[in-house]
Amino acid sequence: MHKLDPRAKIIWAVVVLAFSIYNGNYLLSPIYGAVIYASVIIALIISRPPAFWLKLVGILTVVVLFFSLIFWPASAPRGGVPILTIPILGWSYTDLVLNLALSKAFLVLSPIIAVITMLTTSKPGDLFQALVRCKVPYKIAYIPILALRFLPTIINEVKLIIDAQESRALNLRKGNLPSRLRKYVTIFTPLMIRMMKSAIELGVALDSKGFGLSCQRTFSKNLRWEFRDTLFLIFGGLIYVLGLIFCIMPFVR
Amino acid sequence: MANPLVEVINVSYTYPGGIKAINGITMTVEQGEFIALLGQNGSGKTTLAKLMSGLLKPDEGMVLIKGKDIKDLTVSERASIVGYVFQNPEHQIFASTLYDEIAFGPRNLGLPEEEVKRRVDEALKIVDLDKPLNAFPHLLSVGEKHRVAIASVIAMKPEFLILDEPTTGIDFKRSLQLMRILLKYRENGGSIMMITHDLYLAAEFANRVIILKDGIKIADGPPEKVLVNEELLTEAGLAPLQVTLLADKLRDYGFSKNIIKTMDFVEKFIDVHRRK
Amino acid sequence: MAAAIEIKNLWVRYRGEEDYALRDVSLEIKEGEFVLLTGPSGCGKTTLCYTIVGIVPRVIKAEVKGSVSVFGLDSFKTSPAELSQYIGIVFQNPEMQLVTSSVYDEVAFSLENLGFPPEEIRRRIREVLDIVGLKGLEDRSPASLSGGQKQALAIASVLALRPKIIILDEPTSQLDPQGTRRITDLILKLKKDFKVSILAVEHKVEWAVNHVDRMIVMDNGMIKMQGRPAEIFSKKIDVERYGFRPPQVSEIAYKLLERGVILPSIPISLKDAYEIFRRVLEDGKSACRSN
Repeated sequence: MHKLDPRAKIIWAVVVLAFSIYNGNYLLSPIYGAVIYASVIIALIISRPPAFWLKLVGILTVVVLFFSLIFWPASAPRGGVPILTIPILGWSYTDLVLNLALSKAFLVLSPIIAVITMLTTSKPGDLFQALVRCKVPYKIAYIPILALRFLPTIINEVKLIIDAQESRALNLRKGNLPSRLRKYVTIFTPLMIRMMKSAIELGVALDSKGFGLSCQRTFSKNLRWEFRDTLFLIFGGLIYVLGLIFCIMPFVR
Repeated sequence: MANPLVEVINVSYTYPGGIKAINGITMTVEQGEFIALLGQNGSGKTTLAKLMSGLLKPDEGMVLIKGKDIKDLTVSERASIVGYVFQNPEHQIFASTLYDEIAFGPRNLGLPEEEVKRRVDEALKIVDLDKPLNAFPHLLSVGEKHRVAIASVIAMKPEFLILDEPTTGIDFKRSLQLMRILLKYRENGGSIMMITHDLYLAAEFANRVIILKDGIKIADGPPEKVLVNEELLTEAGLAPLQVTLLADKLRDYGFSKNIIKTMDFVEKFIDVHRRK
Repeated sequence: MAAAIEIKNLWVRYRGEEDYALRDVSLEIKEGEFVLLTGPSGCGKTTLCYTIVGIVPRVIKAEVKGSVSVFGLDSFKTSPAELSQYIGIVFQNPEMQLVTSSVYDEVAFSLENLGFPPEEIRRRIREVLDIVGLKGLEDRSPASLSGGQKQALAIASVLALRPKIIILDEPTSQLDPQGTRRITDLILKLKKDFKVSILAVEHKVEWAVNHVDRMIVMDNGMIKMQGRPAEIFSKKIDVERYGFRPPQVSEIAYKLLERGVILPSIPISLKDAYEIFRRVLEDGKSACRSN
């Protein structure tokens, strides 16, 4: 996954999103959602990201499944055969409801995981170039790169501010909700000020490096579209289309 | 004999990412000390300071504050004994009036408002800040902000004051101003530990120098002993002061290389010169 | 030697401020010079630097009177793209001026923004990383570098444009002694081996006094003193006013003068001090002997 051209990965993520949004009767079969979900999970796992991401995806899956089972039953079609009953809570799910809930869960998760996979398998500089090559204006395309670059910096600033206030006897763990919210102001205010000042410094630095001066920009390392990128897209596209057909078939006949 | 102010007993600490920042340090801080803590970035200075103030808890070993284990103290109890001034005052300043900013610490300690007012006035006097109490702290100059930060910590009347690189990024005039504030603070009975890269200030003002390298102490003693040990300094990535090197070069004229202060050199020179 | 920077009667007042940050500043820096700019905080050093490269008033709005030219180009009218090939600036805070995710990308950034051909970019990156001592670290993220390495990277990204002058705004203030040594060595290397003119703003002057051609001391928006370091330090420096500490050997000399010792001149380096003090002590000895 790492070696693929980021443009292929971007297209893949967009395709996953498109297939996920597309609404149709096939939703009543979870197989379609499961296929897409399986495909993105496999993509993520074979790219061997740091353990943090796998844990995050695992937690996210559980959380989304849980909320799906709570909310989607309200818009499910009536009737159907009850197949699952949770003893303690007394919730009962019909097969139709269950299919819908699972389906929706998978389709919500899939684009998110596709984007995570894309981000963890591409170098930020390459992603940036890919976006610009896809006709995104480079000043906008650079924003996610800046976010990635400065996220650790911002996190450090927050930690510093919390330490500074804690050393002035601020206890964030004690107190009822309103008093705690007031306490968070003492963290939030310095953070906002620091961020505004840093934004100005950053703006000056970017300007002094010629950012935004011309509309055209060269890249020192050119991305090259290889055969494997085409293969990946064809293969991936086939999976989704086949899955879609497979699910729609029962309804068409 | 009273308990020492802070006791660090065989303390080790590893950051969540796996970096062992402190690897077995033992030391004590008594009343009235002015310690300069030196060492390269990454040697563990800030980590040690945070362990001594309770912002971090040691993985191994103990930190005692006036005889009590720091783990058993509440946030307020810790803050009222060990004060920590961070390098950049902008990481602390949040209030809309100067008064509220400095009153923050004492109020968090649960002190009655009359006592808070008294402490704010006293703190402002010590740092020599002559601004109206309703001034907007964010609009003050850089030097004034530094003093606000110090005042807001001093207002809690800690017996031990830790300052993390207080002179980095400020000009020399302000550095001297800061040293004067610290000396005044020490006169009132406080102990000070200053993390710094400035050997000149360490030589002129500190009465004890500790050097860290890779999480262990490689030096702990009076500046006249530590700051003239060239091998030690080189190991820590530091270089001796000009006055020390000069005194060493003039050893044939009766100078010893234990000189670290400008005035000591001047006195010695006059002495040698007059004898002729 | 041509004038690299020429400033005439410069007044700068930031938008919304009452006081002028720079008052009637006139200055000339010749090609190949190494100039040290110092003075207390708030004296206008940074404003002066920003105005020379055009950041003021283009990015930071201010009212500006007078003229600033770099190699004959008007700083206020010339495009930053053109100006950047003559003059570059390295800022004080290593953190906020590294804007990419890898060392390689950081050096490439300006070149890419200005539309240099890829082959040229790749060549310059290799060259520059070697000069600043970051060869082999191309894939490292800027956040993982030490303070000294970050500043070296910032210098590298400016150097890639091959400017004839580099302005460094307090480049070592956030660094530890080892980082400071790394950067000061690099600056000296640039001056000696690559003939780059340097304008360095610094509070710590001890390391620079032996290498700079000229020192400029500012206070309150104006230039108060300028000249060779030996000239500047020949009179006692009012530290309280100017905010920087003279070399310790000079400080010793001032105190000796106060106590009535007669010195032929004020030393600014360790070597000078040894020579001068030794001679004074020797003369003292021989004067005694001749009695």
